[in-house]
Amino acid sequence: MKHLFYILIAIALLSTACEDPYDIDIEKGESQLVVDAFINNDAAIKEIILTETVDFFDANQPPAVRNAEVAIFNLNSGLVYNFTENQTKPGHYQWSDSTLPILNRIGDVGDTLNLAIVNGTDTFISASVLKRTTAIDSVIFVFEEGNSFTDEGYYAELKASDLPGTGDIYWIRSWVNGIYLSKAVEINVAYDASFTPGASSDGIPFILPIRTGINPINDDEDEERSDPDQYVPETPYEIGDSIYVEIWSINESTIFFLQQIQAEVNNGGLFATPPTNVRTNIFNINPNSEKAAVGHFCVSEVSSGGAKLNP
Amino acid sequence: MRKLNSFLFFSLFTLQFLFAQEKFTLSGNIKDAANGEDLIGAAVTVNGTSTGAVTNFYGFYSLTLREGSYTIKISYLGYETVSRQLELNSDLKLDVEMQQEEEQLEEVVVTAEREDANVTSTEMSVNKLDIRTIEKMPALLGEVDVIRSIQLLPGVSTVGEGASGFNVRGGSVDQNLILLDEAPVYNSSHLFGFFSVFNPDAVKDVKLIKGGIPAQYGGRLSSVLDIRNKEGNLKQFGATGGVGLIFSRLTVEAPIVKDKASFIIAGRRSYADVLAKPFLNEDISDSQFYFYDLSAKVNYKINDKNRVFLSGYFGRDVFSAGEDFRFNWGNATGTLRWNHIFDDKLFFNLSLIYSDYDYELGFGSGPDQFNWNSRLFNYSIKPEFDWFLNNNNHITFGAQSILYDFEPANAGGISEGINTDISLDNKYGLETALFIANEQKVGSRIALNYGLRYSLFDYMGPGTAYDFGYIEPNAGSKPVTGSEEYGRWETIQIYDNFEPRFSVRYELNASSSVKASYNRMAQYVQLVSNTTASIPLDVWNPSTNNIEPAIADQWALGYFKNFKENAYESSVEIYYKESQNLLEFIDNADLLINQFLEADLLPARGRAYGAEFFLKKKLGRINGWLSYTLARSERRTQGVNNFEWYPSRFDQTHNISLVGFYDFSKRVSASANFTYITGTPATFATNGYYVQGFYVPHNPQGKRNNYRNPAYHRLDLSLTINGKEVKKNGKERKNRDYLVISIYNVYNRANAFSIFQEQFDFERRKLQTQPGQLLPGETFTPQGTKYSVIARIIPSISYNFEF
Repeated sequence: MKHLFYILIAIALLSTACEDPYDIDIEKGESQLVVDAFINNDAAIKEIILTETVDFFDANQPPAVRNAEVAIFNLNSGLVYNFTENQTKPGHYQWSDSTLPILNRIGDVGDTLNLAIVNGTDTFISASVLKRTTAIDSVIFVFEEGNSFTDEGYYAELKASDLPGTGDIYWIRSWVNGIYLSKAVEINVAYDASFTPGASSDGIPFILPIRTGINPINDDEDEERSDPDQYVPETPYEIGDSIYVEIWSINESTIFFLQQIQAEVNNGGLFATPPTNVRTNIFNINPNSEKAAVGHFCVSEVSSGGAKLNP
Repeated sequence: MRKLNSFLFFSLFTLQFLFAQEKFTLSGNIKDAANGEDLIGAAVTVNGTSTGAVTNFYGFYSLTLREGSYTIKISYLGYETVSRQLELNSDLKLDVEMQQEEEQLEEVVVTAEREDANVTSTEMSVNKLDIRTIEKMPALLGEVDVIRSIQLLPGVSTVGEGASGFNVRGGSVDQNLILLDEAPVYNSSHLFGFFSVFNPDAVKDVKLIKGGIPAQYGGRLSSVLDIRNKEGNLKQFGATGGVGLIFSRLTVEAPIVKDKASFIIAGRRSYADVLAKPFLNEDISDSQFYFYDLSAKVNYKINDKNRVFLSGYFGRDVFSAGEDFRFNWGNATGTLRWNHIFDDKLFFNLSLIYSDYDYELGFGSGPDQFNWNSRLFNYSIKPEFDWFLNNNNHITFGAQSILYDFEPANAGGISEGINTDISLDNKYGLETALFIANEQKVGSRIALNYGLRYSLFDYMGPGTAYDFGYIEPNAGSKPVTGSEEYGRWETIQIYDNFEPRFSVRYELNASSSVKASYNRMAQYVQLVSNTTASIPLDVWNPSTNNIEPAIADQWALGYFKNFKENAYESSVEIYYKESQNLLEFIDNADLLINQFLEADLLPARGRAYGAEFFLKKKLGRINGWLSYTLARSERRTQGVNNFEWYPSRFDQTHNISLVGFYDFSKRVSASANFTYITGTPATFATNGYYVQGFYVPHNPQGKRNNYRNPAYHRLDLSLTINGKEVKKNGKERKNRDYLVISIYNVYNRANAFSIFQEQFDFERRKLQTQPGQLLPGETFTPQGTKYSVIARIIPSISYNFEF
């Protein structure tokens, strides 16, 4: 229910509040291994990115972690997939099999996949279950009358339902005019058809905030369509705009990971909670080692759909 | 320790019976002559002796003396002292009506309850604010506010503008027992925290107790804020009101039967929405944004021995944007009281109390909507006796029982016409307490106040109680291992506590004394809140089979001295407070609509200590006070900050308040206040990393509160101009009116409410089709951001009247 806070923050901001840049002088922390391992089972090239954490205010170009050994084991089929570093993209470890599309998958729905990374003297492991995803019926454009929060015009809405049976979890990702909606505030996840487990929303159409959560959220006033060179997606849509949506099946730890990112990145203001670290599912096999890793591993089935706003 | 305390208490208690002697009793009521209001805390003293009594909350006093002739002096802050000669040869009833003092410009003598009450009373860690003082202080947007005013007293602080409630001696907001005519108020804020829910026109008396808390109060760890509303004018019709920038206020009071029955009704409503309406675009004209409160009270004096009061409060904040969004919250309380005088020494009060806090949140309409409401209501009965046994012993005893009904969530959604219900079970509790206390004088220098409260909490059905397994603290939510169903009234878990209270005063000489106190407090309901400022959506939760009641022990020591014939009053107090079972939360805890909320809680220990310095000038054209608090408040719990002590969210090292009043003339007066408070602590990420294109903050050391926000300071000024008292034709005006001009945040400082790390430069990338790393040549700079709730100077004006 954390999204409720943002509405409250918005109300609080109506007053005489203001935000100014402020120089925070904070001690430096040790750097750690970062594992970015979100794998689309249908992608042509499966990729895992290894980097290091950076000082918070020096976020440019995180150092790549090179010469690691990276492999995924399918516990159900017994197959091993060795990921090799792309020599032109340091820190990017890839695997693909171009002989047959069916051979380019690393598992079937229900399989358990283990990830192992050997970096120097430390070995990190993780596990993910490849879960089923739901199909997209359609993506439609709906004309909305304006209100205090939105302008009048066309907005996109996802038509899709949760699969019958509890425990299906989805990450719904969208691209508007080919641009990926990459803001943390735009993270759109569903546990069955709503936000949280145990909310008894099994097998029904996704609730409205999820169906309309595929739209871009532009909170910066300087993001405008006016400069074609700095084109950014925004709503309401204009004729000719397109939207493309993917639904990734994810694990329970993944939805928490994404919800935590959303909460932590947007944490602030009057009702800020104490910042906490986002939990990882990557573990050092030596519990006594001081080297810890952050990041996440998840293998997903992906369905997709899209629409274009025609005159 | 417990046994020793009880033993000590009862031996002291029985002692006085041995020395009781045949004497006569003088008793009665002290009232304001102008409107018949009871005067609370008026001093009744025998001239030439140290013997005396103080009126209770109902204006009643009782004094037992040997046969003889006496001069009795009755004094009260701002009233002309009354002297009465009397011959005491039988029990005597003496009711006195006191005249308000005419303000004399050259020599303003503001008589205290007793001029030297600061030194002579056994009370310590107590602050009283006269409503007339509160009204003179500069106020935000000109709205006089009780809670913002008490934040200028020693030991009281706030985490920032717009934060609801207040923090006392390093305690959280929910550790304050806020009583309005004895009914607990669970959320004391309008508009999230900018204004409190108490209408200053209706308030009669404000008392804040931070330590040495008497036994008749219980249920919260840190303080008691006891607010009593006016009873209503018994003499004549009266109306007061005002027009400010935020609220308009109107209070009407009148006798129903002169000197026997009266009523008062006081209402306020904000009208920003009314003023804004013509200027709003049509598409948002169905937005609502207002808050109001209404206090009402009736009292009836049946005869000399019986009197009844009925009072109520209703307040609400409403925000909505048509059918898209609706949010409202508010309190309702009701108190029915019966005063009965058994004889001239035994005073009885029975209170029946109802209190309700609820909120409602909703989005959408028709086939797609979400609705959530939550409620906490309770019924309470409190019989209490005031027994003025003799001049050396004033005994208070009684009981209280509170029945709680918690409704954390009645919630559900509709998705494309399909209903889902995500409501949580209600929770029930019964809190019962017995208390007895005695205020005893031992010789001429020593006075004691000792008491014992026994409290018992029954967490009961109907409902489901869960069991949770052990995991390493803060490794995640505790796993549910079992559950059990309980029937109506069936006990799930019982807790009980003996809560000894003790304070002692030793008079060094006529103008100085030393005081010490100890109190143990138990708290069975806590606010589940994880935010810097508490929000209206926070849910109160009882102690359960998984959450033990919070306990606090506090010791305080103080030195009190008055100068220049009580023109100056000063005090130094030091305190140490230790708490157990405070609520902390696991990382990423989900606090709202979570069936297994208990799995996300961690019990924490707390310790708070500090020194409070207070200097007040009571007399003269220039008066006011200076308060300085040096304090520390820390917590420790397994799973957080490597089990080391860390500063709590309300740890503010220095807290300085300077409040001054100056009378230019009979018609014009000015006031100023200045506040300086050390910034609150904050936790910051030292590192960051990229996953799927998101930049995630990270704190590898896991240190809690590793940063200190910049200090908060502010100056406010106000000017009060009274309307002419005499008409042009020379006749005196019946009505009184005055204009208040105030400037809040005079030197235009943008005080930080919080500092946070922000990524607003993280613009979307052109041509990016896949999530991932920064492209070559791209840059991204996270920033620190200072968030100020009030970032500029705020002038305001208000017009007030009385007739």
